[in-house]
Amino acid sequence: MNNPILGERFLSRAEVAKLSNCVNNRELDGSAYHIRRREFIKHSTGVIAGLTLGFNIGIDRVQAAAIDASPVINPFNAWLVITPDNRIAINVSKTEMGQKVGTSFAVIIAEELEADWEKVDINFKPEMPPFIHRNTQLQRLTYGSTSVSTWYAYCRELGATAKSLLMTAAANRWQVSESSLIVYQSHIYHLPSWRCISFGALVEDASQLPLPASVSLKKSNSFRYLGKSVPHKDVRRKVLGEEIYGIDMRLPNLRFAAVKQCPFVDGRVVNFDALLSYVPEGQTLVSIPNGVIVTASSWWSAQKTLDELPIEYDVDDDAASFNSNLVSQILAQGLNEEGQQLFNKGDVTAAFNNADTTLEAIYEVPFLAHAPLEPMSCTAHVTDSKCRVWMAQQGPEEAALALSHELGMAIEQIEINMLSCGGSFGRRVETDFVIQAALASKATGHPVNLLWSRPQDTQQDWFRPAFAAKMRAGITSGLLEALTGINCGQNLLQTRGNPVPFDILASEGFANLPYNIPNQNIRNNSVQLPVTIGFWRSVGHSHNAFFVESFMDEIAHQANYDPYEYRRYLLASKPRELAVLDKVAKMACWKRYHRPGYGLGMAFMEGFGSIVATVAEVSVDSESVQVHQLWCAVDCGQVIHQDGATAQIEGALIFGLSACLFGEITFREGQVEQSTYKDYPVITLKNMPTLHIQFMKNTHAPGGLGEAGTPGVAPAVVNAIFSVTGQRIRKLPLSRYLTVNKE
Amino acid sequence: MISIIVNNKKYEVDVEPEKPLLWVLREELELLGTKFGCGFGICGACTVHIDGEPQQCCVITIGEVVGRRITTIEGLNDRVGQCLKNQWVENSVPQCGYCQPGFIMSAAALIYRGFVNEESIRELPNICRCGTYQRVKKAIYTTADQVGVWEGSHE
Repeated sequence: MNNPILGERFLSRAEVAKLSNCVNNRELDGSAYHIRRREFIKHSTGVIAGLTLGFNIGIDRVQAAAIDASPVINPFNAWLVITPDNRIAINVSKTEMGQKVGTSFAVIIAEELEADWEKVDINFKPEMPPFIHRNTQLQRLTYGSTSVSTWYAYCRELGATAKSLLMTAAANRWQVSESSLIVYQSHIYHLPSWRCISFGALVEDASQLPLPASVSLKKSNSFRYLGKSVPHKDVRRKVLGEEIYGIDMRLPNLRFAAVKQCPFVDGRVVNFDALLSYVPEGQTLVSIPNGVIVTASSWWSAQKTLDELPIEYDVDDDAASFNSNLVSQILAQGLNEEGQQLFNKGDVTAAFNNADTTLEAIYEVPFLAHAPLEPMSCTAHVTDSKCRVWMAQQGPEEAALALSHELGMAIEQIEINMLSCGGSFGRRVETDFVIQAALASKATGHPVNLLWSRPQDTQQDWFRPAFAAKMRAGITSGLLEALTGINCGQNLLQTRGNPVPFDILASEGFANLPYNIPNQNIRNNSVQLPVTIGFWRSVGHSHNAFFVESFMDEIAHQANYDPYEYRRYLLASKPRELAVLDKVAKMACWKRYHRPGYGLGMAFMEGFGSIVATVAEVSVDSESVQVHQLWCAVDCGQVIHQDGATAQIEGALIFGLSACLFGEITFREGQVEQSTYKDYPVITLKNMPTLHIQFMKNTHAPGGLGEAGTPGVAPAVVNAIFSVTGQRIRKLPLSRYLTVNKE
Repeated sequence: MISIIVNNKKYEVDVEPEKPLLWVLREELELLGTKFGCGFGICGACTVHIDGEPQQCCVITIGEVVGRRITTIEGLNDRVGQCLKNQWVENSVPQCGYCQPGFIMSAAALIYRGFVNEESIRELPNICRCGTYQRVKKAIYTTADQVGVWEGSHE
């Protein structure tokens, strides 16, 4: 029986002593509370005996049929597969774009399973049938910093269920009670009889067992992985240049495609037939609704052909004369209209009548591009009977639906394969580039790898909408008694045909402020502009935090209070929020800070289930500004992966800072004026501030982290500039007024 | 046929001389670690070494590098390369990871110069949209220290 190949053996005296010690110190006893299991599904795979567990969700007509017809489980639902070689495969249903969602899900499952992290493999489901699930909470779309907060409980129960099955199998095999077993590092131990067996040796038995009615979850004080920093599985691959992104897909007979879309906000190509004669032999010109695609044996050749095509567009006068001044005018007018009420509390009219001071300010932010480093790219192979795509995109269900619609194919004929994204920040929610790849493949009969040039990526983005806000405060004896606010911009969900009753996204961080203000009236006014807009990291919060937190600073100064103390007073009844605010103040030595020519500014926000306070340190010197340090305190509940969480905030801060300093997409004569990182600059090492990030330690349900760090940066920086110069900047980006980081 | 030396290996490629090196690496040699980010020599995602010097190869034609020694991320395996890659892993630098091969090539070239300080790190042009710069700095500093070329301050 002492056969390591079979995964079962006797322990040595030293091992028993060590494990007993751990048990005595309660390091291995974490089982805390029993919960009723969710509806998991379990499957014994046919060929290789293994234990497969997943969630019985999202089975619509198509999936139900597939499952009936085949003994193999729907691969989407096979989240966890333990094989006889004692490896654990965790199949992640979300898109990897740098946020390490794979590590997060795997760590949660491994924690409850007591898995050996070395033996865990993370897969992003390289091939899967289309999966359509309309429950927005459980769909595969990766969005809104929701992955971990949505799936935390599911992942824990999944790991605990697998562990329970393995324990039952071990108890049956050894004819001992389950309570006498210890589970540790992918093995099960029975110390009284000095026995040990690997998970792998138990999978066949475990897969024959019925699912347990309830499972127990670990106590947070015995967490081995959660809140710590296990090594990421993808890091070495990425460092060696071996990660496969959208741009890297290779297939036999692959053709490369470049695309040119109409540069005007509205318009179409009118001389397609005439363009055909300009296309060299061996290349193909494909017409798409808003432009043309060239396919060739090299992307560079295709792009060269495109650059030389004399494309003519039909553009109406309105589109041809559209410009950024007009945007500012329309937004400013919109602020003077009634709009729609988002939130009302108390009696603002009476409160303003009683106020001894009133304050009003108007703010404006521009359109912004996502500018991920990997431009939009997708590979598709469309034949008469099938459409296969390999894509770096956030929503496989949306992509499958769009492809089915566009190609007139049944959803069963669409196959989606997921690749890593070279950055996304909300851009890859869209399906435009996926459709283009499929159209190019359909037209040429070849598999096609489509890639956008950098100018296409910048100019044909789905921009963060430009927004403006008018804020008004009524202060009585220094206290903020009344606040009104109206913001104005395009209604993002409405622009894509979603019949929302009000602009939900414009209300985020605007209508539901954490502050205790007795009288409030918060409104929104949606305007129509001919600009394609999208979801940009932190979405509505990205502009609303600038409006609200800049104005909070103005109010505090007007009331003659320190902006930190003023926020403390407004958050007095909220201990969790106060703790975050106090933490960041302490980190930045807010109370004792004094440095001539330098200043601090603060911002506070709640969103995505997390609470974030930010302090910026800037110096301002004859029309030039430099951001030296950013401090950020975060309460996101239970931290899943300490290093990964820190990285998300680092990235979110830098993303917010790039936008605050430089970010601006402008229109002139109907076209976007920016095209590359030269005229749409972002932070580099040259202007990189020092970052200080700390997390509150608690075990509240996890909040989202990918976006929450971004919105607070701009107001913190602008408030810091005010503290140095007394100059209030109400329109972004800062490069409009100041030289940024003059050497 | 154009003859080039990449990662100590000689290749004959049948392409136009004005084709940028980036697309020869990616399309002809299938060395996919070198990435396309902008096509204008700004972002650094396509950084390789040409005779040991960092070059953004989206704007260098194959005709310009005939007979010169080209090193890509796949071939960066000397001591400096190993140290850098280890430090990149040690500090969990990559988020999406797309810019990192180019960043590592820039960092290696900086270290080859034999003099690294805070200022010279700040001069690296590479863009990382995920914002990993703080870790990049630490990884370069630590490597420079390990190979004995750190001339900056020791905090």
